[in-house]
Amino acid sequence: MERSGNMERSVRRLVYAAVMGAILIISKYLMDGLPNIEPVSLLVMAYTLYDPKLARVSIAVFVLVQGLLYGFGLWWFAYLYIWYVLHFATLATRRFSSPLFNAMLSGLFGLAFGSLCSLPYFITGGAGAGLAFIASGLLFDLLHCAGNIVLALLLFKPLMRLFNYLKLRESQP
Amino acid sequence: MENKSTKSKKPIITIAVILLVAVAAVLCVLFVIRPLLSSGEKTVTIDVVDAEGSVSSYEFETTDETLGELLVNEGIAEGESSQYGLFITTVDGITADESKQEWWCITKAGEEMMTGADDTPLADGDQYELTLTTGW
Repeated sequence: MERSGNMERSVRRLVYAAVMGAILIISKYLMDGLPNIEPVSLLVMAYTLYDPKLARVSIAVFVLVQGLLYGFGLWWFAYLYIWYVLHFATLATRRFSSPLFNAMLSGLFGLAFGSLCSLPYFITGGAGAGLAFIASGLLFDLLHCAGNIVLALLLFKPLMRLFNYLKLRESQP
Repeated sequence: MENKSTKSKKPIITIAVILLVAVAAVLCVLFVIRPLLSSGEKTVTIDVVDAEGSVSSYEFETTDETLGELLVNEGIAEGESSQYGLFITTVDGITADESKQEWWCITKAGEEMMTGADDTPLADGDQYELTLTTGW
């Protein structure tokens, strides 16, 4: 009896992770037209604070599907670690979590996005290619920073309210 | 004794300071490299080597960010878009004949490259070779 309950719980969590990954993919797709304004950073932070294990699986789903959709180019290798950087940064600072704090964390991540993404270019093209990649993206990084801050200030609180509600429902028999 | 509100503000102040310093640093770097970004000072050399080994050399001043963009925008290469980026079929008017297992090999200053043309960012002084190669 207890075993089937555990099984049911595992399946439910797997479905949650898949749905969370799908939300990352769809929301990114829907906002692709806006220059460097993306909902993924906000969602990764919210997922991490809701359930770190589920967050890690949903990020893996997201990264894999992005590769399948857009091709496994050099950018994709950066995706293998870049969202986990934000995930672990959120995890490490979770006791300070608040809309303002996470908005700034998200902004910092947006600002560092190009530099973090440059690692594969440094490895394959050398220092010149890596630095050229960073320099050409600095303006976009500033936009990314501003976009992340605004989005988190607007949506972090309602999202966390939603996740807290889901947690409460899960804890009830 | 430190009260609760002062305590909870410390991390916010810390991250705000880090963010401000980072933004200021990026703005400073942008200011310094502004001439490079706005006027496209990159000079890139492309050598095209045909089946007989004859070399045609081209030098470009460009603002393009990747090798793929430069090759297409300057009309040096044509190809097909694939999920891995530009697949070069024709360079300098010479089309690789698949039936003879011909293909265009890209090298950077003689070194083999790990990236496709669309994934290769350009830097000032770069030199690339496009060589018509036979055999897969």
